[in-house]
Amino acid sequence: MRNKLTVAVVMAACLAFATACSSGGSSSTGKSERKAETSACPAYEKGTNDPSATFTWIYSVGNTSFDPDKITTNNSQMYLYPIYDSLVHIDAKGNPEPMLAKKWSIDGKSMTLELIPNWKYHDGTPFDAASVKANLDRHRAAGSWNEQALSDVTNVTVVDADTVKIDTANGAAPLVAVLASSAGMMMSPSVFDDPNQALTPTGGSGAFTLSGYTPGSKVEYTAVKNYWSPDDLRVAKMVYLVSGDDNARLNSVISGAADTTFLRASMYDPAKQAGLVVCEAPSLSSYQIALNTEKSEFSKKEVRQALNYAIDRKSLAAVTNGFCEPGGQMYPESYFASDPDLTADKYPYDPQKAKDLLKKAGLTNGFEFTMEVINLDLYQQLAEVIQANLQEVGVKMNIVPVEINKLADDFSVSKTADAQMSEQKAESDPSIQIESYYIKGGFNNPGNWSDPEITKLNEEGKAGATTDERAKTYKKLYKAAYDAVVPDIVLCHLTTPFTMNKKVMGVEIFADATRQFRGVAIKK
Amino acid sequence: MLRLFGTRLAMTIPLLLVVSFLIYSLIVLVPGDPAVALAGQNPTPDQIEAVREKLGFNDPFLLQYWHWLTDAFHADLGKSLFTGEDVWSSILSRLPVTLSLTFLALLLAAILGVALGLVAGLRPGSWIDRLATVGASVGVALPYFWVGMILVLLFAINNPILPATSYVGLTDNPFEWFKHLIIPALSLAIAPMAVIARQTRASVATVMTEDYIRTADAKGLTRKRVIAKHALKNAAVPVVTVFGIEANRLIGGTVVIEQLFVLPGLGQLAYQSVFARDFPMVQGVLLFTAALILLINLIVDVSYGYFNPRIRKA
Repeated sequence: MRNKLTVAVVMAACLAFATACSSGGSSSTGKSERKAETSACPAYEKGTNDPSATFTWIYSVGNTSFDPDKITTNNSQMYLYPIYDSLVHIDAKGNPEPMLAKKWSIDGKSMTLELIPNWKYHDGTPFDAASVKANLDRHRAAGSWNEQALSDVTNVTVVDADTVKIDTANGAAPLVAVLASSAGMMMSPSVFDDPNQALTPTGGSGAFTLSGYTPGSKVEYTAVKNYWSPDDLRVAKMVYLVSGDDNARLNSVISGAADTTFLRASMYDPAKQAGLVVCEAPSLSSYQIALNTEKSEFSKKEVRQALNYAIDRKSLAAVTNGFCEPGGQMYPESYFASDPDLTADKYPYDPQKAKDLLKKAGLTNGFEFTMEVINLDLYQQLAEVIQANLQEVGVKMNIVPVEINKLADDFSVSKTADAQMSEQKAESDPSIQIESYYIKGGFNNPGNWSDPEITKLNEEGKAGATTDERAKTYKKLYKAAYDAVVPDIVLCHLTTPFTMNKKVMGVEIFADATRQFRGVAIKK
Repeated sequence: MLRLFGTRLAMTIPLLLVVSFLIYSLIVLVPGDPAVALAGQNPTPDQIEAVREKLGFNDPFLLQYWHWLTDAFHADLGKSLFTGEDVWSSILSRLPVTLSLTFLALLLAAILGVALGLVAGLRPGSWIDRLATVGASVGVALPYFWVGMILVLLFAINNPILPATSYVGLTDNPFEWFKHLIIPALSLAIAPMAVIARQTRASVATVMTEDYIRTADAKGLTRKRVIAKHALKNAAVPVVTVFGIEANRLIGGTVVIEQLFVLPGLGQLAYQSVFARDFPMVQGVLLFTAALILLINLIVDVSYGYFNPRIRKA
């Protein structure tokens, strides 16, 4: 009897313990449908901030270098923004604004920039046209991370102390956005040859200097004195923490160890339940399937079309808990470089039409292929929905989960994979993404698929003088991409949710998914 | 004792060499080419090949291993492929965090485990013995990360009395250091505590039936003295063995716990380096960890000699 009592007490204690604990946990199963709710994060209210405050952001991965030419991942740019100002700034919605270049003009294949006066790099070297030319020449040199982004630049000329002219081979328009990325970040020429800049930068041009660094774990920035744009500097310190664990990041914000983080679908409800501020905005990133047209049956246009009709994009959006809106082209319709008419409805879920198209392609009995996906739960769940959709029209898709690095190896380098599903992240200019997926020789186009109309419009897009002019060209280009059925099946466009405590102001969610905290503030 | 130490040390060195070869082989065999990531945005095959050549990835495997081993012998574990940071310096800068965490966890596991095992072992068959046995079984079965999440929910989120994440150095603020480490250390300590409790209970229960305990009792020694001087010391050998095994397991457990609590230790470094395919960093951390584990085993082996003089002659 005593034995039974002991067991009963222990069991009851365990049950009570588990129940109590689960009540505060995530209620999200990832299956409930949620409509994306776009809302801006709390804006900065003038005069309400504590200028001596520290803003702490926690992200999932660290940086690889503090030298803009030595980084090896796009995420590393996030850690450079506080230290280095760039010539151009792209605002949260994707529009270009002045930064170290106070104005610019584009004349077909050349761009002339007028620089801000009276600014110095952190090491005391004057910021002038000669230093800008030195930076751009360094950025476009062989082996630089920015080499590809500036590959169209043929010459950089110092016009006078505050003016620089950049000549290009095909058109200067893409440079505006490119110069807002690491390719436009300005570093003191005095430290160009110092390898220590990768870990201990001293030649920055931005609002902060590095004051502490534990690689892969913590970065601390301290505000510079007499910053050239004082209105954009509202805290004394910024700290970037790193944790690859979603729960740890959320717990950091809930418990006050950090002020802000980004959310994945499973973290959304717990963040709201914890009383945190949650804000969300559409991004230019998408989930997509890239096809190798040298493999399986993908060289046939009807096959690519059939796959587009066979996939139920609404079910995929439901799997992502509403964090990915169904889409039918590379970018969401709201972006300037897209065709507003090409909504997800252009490819409604229509298995019968898919079957008809396969029949037309001579594949009445379907066909088989293998798709590699990133070995994360969400990607595999999406792949399983697609697998079931394709099975319905007689296409057998085998799923092979792989590490993210191996995905690029297999699909783009060794070109052994038939297809891959991944996140298509926005590049600094649409032309870079178009060349990667739609143009012969593109990194994400291992089958070297091409279409003369798209190739022509891509060149036109690069030569466009204004955003309006380029928008018209890209509208035509994406219509042509739809007509030619490019080997890149866009599934849905991601939204980016952030969460923060109630003291944070001025965090903006950037459409290109860059994490920039210029002008962020903490309430007194 | 010195002879015992020398013999065990001589056996450890070839073992470390074998382990180093395995570590190097396994990491190189892992799929995914870091040269693709290092070659820049949308690289051409030529650019990727140039990076491979520069990093020596095209050299024969055994030559690569030999270079790495001879450099490691000179305390040069290379530089991170991605950050350029010196691997040895990275390890040393992360070591205090991991040592703090494992030390605190082992201390908790040892104190609580031995106390629980002793209480249960001195009263075999009693309700407290049965409760401790059930508790130990449950404790062994609970995964570190689950215990960690539960403790965070209880003591950091629902009742915010302790921090949920991050680390404060011991020299910066000892009280904050303890506050930031107590939940992670407790998460790590539960399983080894249960194992130690079980082992201590069994050892003490066995020792207490031995003739020399009866003799000690017959000599009129106090119960406390019998337990402290005779029972505990003789029960210690199996407990120390378990303690060594658990210390090794704890080092593995830090990988998960450091992620969960945003602690910048060796576990976090290993985790991030594996995901980035940062071969020199992963190899360096694993080699260092393997050496640490072999050192712990060496200490455990030598400690047998202290507890049991017969082993010294073996």
